Amino acid sequence: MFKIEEVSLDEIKLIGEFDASQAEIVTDFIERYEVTLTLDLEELSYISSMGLGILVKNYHRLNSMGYKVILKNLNEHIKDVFKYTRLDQLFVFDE
Amino acid sequence: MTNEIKYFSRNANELPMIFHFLNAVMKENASNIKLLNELKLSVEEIFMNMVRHNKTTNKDIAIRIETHKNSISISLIDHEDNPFDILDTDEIDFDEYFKQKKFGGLGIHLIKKLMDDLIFDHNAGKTTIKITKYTN
Repeated sequence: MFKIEEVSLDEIKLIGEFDASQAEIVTDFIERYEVTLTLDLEELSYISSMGLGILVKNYHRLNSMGYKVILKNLNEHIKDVFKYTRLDQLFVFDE
Repeated sequence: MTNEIKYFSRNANELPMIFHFLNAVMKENASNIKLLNELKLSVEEIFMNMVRHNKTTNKDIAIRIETHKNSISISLIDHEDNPFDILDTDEIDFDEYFKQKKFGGLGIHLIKKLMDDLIFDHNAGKTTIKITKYTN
């Protein structure tokens, strides 16, 4: 079960399990934004490497326009995944 | 101790059913969300590698889960003649990775970080990739 919701014009929320089967849905949703984008991951229970790749791709896309990607409310598993892939050095964390 | 095997078609849409299989077999570890998620991530990565990179067969991919007192092992078994040995991959140079604005290829690195053992075997046209995580 996975859902993606718009919280405001510069914030979206990922909910549930973000696996490879959700790649197209998330890509289509996120690529509409051209702002400094906050991702609320409080209810994201799982992310795979495919999910990480989509977030990194959008980080580079927004960064090239002068914007940032801010992540907030990561659970322990998600934090570990970012740490092991050194992506904690790339994104801004709102803790 | 359990030893169960199921077969899945070569499609990303099978992932929810694969995760359901993992959850069902590992119900004794259901409270260990971190362990379950690490195993799911590793299984998804190996399964999707087999789906994406082996176009020589339409046969299902087998997933065998073995639970022991102090460990859990999961084997993914595919039919192929020219396998890709996931152990034969270079360490990622993250400075270069970020500099070149790459965004894929993190899965195998993650499996090596998250699992305690990773075995690749190819025999008689079948590739088996077995991951093991110690629970104590």
